Amino acid sequence: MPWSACSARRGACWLAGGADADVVVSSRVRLARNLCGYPFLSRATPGQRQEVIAAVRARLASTPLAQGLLWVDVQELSTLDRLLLVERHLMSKELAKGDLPRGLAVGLPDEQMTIMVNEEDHLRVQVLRPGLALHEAWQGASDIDDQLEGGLDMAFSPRFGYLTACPTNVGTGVRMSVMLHLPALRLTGEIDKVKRAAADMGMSVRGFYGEGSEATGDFFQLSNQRTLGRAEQVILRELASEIIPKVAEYERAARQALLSRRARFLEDTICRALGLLRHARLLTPQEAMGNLSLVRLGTLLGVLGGEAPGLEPHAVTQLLVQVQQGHLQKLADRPMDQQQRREFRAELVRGRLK
Amino acid sequence: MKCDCCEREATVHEVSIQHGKRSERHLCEQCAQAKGVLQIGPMPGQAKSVEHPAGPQVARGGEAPQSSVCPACGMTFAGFRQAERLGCAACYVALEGHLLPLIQRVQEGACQHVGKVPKRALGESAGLGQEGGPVVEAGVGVGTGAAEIVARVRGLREELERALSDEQYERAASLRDEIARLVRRVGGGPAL
Repeated sequence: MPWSACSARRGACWLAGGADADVVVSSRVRLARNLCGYPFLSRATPGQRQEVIAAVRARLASTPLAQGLLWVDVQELSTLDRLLLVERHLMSKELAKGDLPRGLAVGLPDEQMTIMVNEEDHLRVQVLRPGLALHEAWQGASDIDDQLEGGLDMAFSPRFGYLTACPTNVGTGVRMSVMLHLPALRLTGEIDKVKRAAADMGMSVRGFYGEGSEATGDFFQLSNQRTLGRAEQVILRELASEIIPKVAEYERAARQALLSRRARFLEDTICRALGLLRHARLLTPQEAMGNLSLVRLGTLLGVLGGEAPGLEPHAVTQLLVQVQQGHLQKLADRPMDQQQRREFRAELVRGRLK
Repeated sequence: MKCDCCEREATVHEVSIQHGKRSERHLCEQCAQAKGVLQIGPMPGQAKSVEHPAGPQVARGGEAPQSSVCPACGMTFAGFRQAERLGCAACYVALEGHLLPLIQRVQEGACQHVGKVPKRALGESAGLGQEGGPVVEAGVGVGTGAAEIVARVRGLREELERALSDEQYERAASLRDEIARLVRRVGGGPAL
């Protein structure tokens, strides 16, 4: 297992920099595909699951994708390793669950490409990129799809498009999403308005860890909801050229409004967050993420001034993943209970924000 | 209604339209399974096509115009509602009558795919298309959705094969041009 304490220390490449990184933390494109000739996963026997894995692995081995691709038999991983991969956004919670045959192919060393096998669908191709880079992420995912499809028959209907286990993904099977950092919109009380507007435009808004996770630390995942009847390029154009720039502009305007009209309040809020993170002896994940979000805002707006010279936004962003329980236990190289994790989390954050 | 093969009540109704001729079979569940009309359990490993425009539509329960059991995997609509997952690709055909309103609800009224099409669905050999694969663009024109284009290319390819075997080379050339034009139109590049 290559995801040791070393990779936990390294953080995630897709969280480092990129275009519009002040607001757009990362971009992701996910494709759902199923192979012809096999039932979907709810009806597949363990033998059929193995056959799907074998077919996908054989196809991968015959393409240039094989180079730098690491295969992981998920059912053989420990709970901690599974947790680490979920926290790094390399696999979904759904893939992590259960002991039936399932696999994960990860592009190394940057971990920006993954192929999940036997998740909700036979195949889930995912490409992650730092910052606003949906075009690149789409191109990457589509290229992988082409290479897989060159040797595998995908379940496809001219009417419904790519056929998926859940009709919410049928059609293009594509989910394009961006992780947005919107602390100023929360501080100015406008976040609900933006979330409603996004929903009205057919977008879904989720938390840092996707479906079912609450927005933590002002980080939101915005993604297309509809997958049928709209071409990938249309979804891409709408998100990358219309919706995301608009939301980013709202956030930037809210940041400027806070700076010009409520500078002291903003400085106080951010410096309190820094103070708490620098001095706390026990930290919950929610507390850590909420305050790291404010400190990230401080580094972006230069509000921290002499308080934290040299502290870069991406160093703070990396901590968002590293304060999660799987990463903490990998870093400490020992299993920890909740209280021990809170203590170690506080120690880690204190050390980084000195 | 009685089963065509025994005295039991017919609960599986098959309507086939092949070569323009309609035929009906009314069977009880046991006879339907024995004749392979209704298969409960894992689907056969080699079933490739899931769209059967001319194939059998299996209906169960007498009144329902559409099937409520997938003949390939045995999934029922009630089972789908409970699991929130379909059993196999053929469920989209077998349960279409029930699924369509649901699909339209979750997909904002859409019921026709627009977008990428697997190269193999166009009958191309792999790797001949341009990067990104064939794409059916929105608004290509009235009546030129993915279904029509894919079906038309398939039909033209069959005609092309016939023209070549009949040594009608002029016709073959114009068919080849038409196929290339259609494939280009859906973004497939120089496919032939």
